[in-house]
Amino acid sequence: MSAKKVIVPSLIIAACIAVIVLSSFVSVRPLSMFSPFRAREPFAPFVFGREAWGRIGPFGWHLAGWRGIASAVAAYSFLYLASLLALFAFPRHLRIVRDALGRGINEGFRLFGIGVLYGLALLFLTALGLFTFVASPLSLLLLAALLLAVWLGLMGLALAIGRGINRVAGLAQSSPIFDLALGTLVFFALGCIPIAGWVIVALLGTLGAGAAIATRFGAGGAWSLADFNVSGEGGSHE
Amino acid sequence: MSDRLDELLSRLPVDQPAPDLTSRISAAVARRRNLRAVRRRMVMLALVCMVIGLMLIGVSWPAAAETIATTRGVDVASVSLEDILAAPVEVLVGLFELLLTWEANLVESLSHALILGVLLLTMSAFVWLAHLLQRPAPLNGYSQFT
Repeated sequence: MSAKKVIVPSLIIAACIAVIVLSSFVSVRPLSMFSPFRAREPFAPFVFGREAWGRIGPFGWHLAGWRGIASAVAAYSFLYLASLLALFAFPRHLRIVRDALGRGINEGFRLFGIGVLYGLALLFLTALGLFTFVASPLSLLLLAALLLAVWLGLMGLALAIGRGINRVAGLAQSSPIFDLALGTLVFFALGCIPIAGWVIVALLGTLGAGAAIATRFGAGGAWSLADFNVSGEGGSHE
Repeated sequence: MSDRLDELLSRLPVDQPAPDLTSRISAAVARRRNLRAVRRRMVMLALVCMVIGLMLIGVSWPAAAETIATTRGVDVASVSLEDILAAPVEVLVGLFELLLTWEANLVESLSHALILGVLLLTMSAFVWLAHLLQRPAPLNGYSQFT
């Protein structure tokens, strides 16, 4: 085994751990710039917190010191193990989402646009449901679908990042389990950066959601009514 | 043209083409042209919907923002863990009732213009999404009409 195959992933892992540790030792105070949002009812208790904006990251609280490191290790383990379960449960779907993310920069922009429009469409639809149907549970389901797409996309993105790093290292055939661990570590570390982590994870989540939607939640194939229009028994096709 | 393509072309059978080949090609080209025209019209319609929706929301937003700000929401922070553990069903029912009240107050106070604006923006976002989800047609002349 060449040294490059060990050095490149090790450097990435070391850099990620350094980012997580440094982020844990950075004390983050509530941001006054977000104060206009904090007092707004009814969203304040749900989303922005009262005093905690800036202390919550996309993957949990920004706790200071060793407690923060322990919390980060637990959060990463949760994220990785949950993703691993999903990988074993839906390997084909996740492979299709991962492959959709590796088709060049133009396709990346298309997927990002799809992610943005999907998010906007679902948010508008949720608002519409909220304004017209009283406490319709469908509105909550739509938000759940949005979160599911983001999570599926982030898993696909983690697999793509991990595979990319391993290919740079010269590992032509790497295990998807290792790809997932490495990719999850990269975007987890990026998400741990105070404030900027939200922006980075939002951008990556949008891209991932776009990939999940473009691939019909990993089912593959184009968005069409071809399967619906198939006549006869056993006439389904891909 | 590459040598490889020349070789492949030379292997094609020398049968006469189907008599309706020209008409089928013309029909396919016309179908594709129509499809493009329909998509272009849909995109323009979505653009118009978006502009009108934004205008409607812009007009009705100051009043709506005031309504949202003044309508009392569901204060989840007021519910303690002890309450949930002691009487989970009552707490959930209470929260749901508060949510219903809040939503009913909100729906009664919001203007029609805001709802129409959100509706137009929703339709516009879906049309744009559908447009992006269509894969670009290949340039080699082959396409799938599904």
